This record gives sequence, structure tokens and C-alpha cells, in this order.
Amino acid sequence: MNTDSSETTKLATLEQTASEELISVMTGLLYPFIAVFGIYIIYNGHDTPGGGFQGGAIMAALFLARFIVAHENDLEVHFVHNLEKFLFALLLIVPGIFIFAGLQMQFPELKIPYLIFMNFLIGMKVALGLTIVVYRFGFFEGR
Amino acid sequence: MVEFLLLGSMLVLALLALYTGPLRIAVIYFSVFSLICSFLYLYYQAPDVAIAEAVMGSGLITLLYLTALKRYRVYSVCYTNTDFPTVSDREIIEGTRKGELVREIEDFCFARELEPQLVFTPQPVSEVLQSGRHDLIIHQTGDKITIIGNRENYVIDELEMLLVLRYQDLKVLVERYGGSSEYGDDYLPEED
Repeated sequence: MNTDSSETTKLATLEQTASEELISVMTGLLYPFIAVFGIYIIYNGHDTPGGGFQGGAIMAALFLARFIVAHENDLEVHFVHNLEKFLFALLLIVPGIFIFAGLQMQFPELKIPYLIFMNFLIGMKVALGLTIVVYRFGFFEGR
Repeated sequence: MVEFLLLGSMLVLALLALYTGPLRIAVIYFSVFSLICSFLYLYYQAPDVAIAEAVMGSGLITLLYLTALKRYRVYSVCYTNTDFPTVSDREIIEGTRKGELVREIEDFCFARELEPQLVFTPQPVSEVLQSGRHDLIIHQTGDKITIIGNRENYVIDELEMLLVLRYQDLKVLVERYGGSSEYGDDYLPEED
């Protein structure tokens, strides 16, 4: 009886994986395109539509596609959380230095690299934040 | 013209999302609603907002809702047998083929982290159907086993596949009830 029930469980999981294979292969194919699109939107955010937040949300979709495919809790959420805090600190420090230390006036040609860098920081922060939200919801929150 | 078409379809999709019984389908309607909303933003020359809406509305929110639906955990199963006024647990627990069926459902629930809640009752099946509280009703008369699943719980589709595959030798019928009946007729119990 016991062996039979474990067999049944195996069968159930087997069917699940069979139906998920299609999704995982397609998502695997989409991976690089999502990444390139996200980076493009962040990189060109300062003069075309999009920007840090939108690009970051697309990059978050990259992590979340992984969540759909693998469904394993192998992302170290604590590390991601600390990284996000660090990015937030950087997000406050960089404009502080750039604007209040007067670099903006001294080197006007640095303005566009500065905007791109800030967009990049915002994008990373949004991506990590949304990833944490969904991972926490998916794996940790109780019934 | 395009504008009114899009606005109208948004209204229709919003109503569909509200009044659809099976939640998984409602989530997909909501996702399409977001997609059209995003296109409308683009039409109104707000591409920035359109990108955000497309990613958040139809991507992340849909994913979050679907994950939430996976956590829809307590699965209430009702076992009725009118042949015996008192149901004997023994047939279910010990290894008869019919008892295996209940065990199978328990294993199925275990594999999906659902919490099965088994109720045994000698009530006629029509009364149980009317109460509408159970996600799954196993009804047995003689050799014939009918499994009636609530339409609002999407798990029944997967379970039907499993049971039809494994129990071809038993007379197992899978039926639906509850929810909005536009997806097919409700199961009507035979009077016996």
C-alpha cells in the first residue's frame, strides 16, 4: 500500500513536469530577449520612453520566469535583500555627490552618463525588490 | 473608432473578470484587460505608462494572482454512500480498490500541498449538492462511483485526468457542479 501511494505521488509529479516542460522550454528561449529588452529600456531611458522603473520591472520578469520554470527556492533572498539595501544607499549617495559637490557644474559632459547610471541603479533596485516580493509570497508566506 | 472599440472591450473584459466563476480564467481576463489598457495608453501617447502597465498589469500581477491561487489550500472532500446508512471507514482505509480511490485523492492533494478534509455522510447526494460547500463529492451507489467536482475549484481538471488514466477498470464518472453553469450542464443526481 505504501509503495503504491508513493508511486501515485510520483505519477502526479511526473504529469505536472510533463505539462510544465513546454512552458520551461519556451521561457528558456525568451530569457535573452527579456534581458536585452530590459537593458535597452534602462540604457535609453533618459531620452526615449521607459527608464529605470520600467526596465527594472522587465528585469524582474526575468527572475520571475525562473521562478515559474524551476519552482525551487534556490535564490538566496537574504543576499538579494542586502544587495537591494546597498543599492538604495548608493541611490542616495550618488546624486548627493554629483549634485551637491558641484560636479554637475564642473563637468557638464558627465550628465548623460550620470543619468544612465542612475537609471541603472533604479532598475536594479526595482528588479530585486519585485523579485523579493514574489519569492517571499511564493515560498514563505503561510496559509 | 479604435478608441471606442478598445474602451468597449475593456468594459466587457472587466465585467467578465468580475463575473467569471473559475478564478484562474478570471485572472486571465484581467490580464487581457491590462494588455488592452496598456495599448490604450500607447494610443493616448503615453508610452512610458504603457510599458509599466504591460509589465506590471499583465505580467507580474497575473503571476502573483496565479501563485495566490496555488495556495488555495483546504480541499474539502465529501463521501456519500446511500447504500449503507452508516459509512464504514474500513472499506476506505483498508486496501480495496475503491478505498484506494480515496487514498489516491489524498496523495494527489499531498503532491499539490493541498489539505484534504474528508467528510463522510449518509445524506443523499442531492442534499450535499445543494449545500454547495464541498470542492469534491464522491458518490457511490453499488459499484458505480461518481465524482462531482465544484467548478470554482480548478483542481478538478487535473484530478479528472489522473483518475481517468488510472481507474479505467472501475466505473468512475467525473462530473461538475456549482459555479456559473455556462460551461456545461450541472450534474443531476438520479433519484434512487
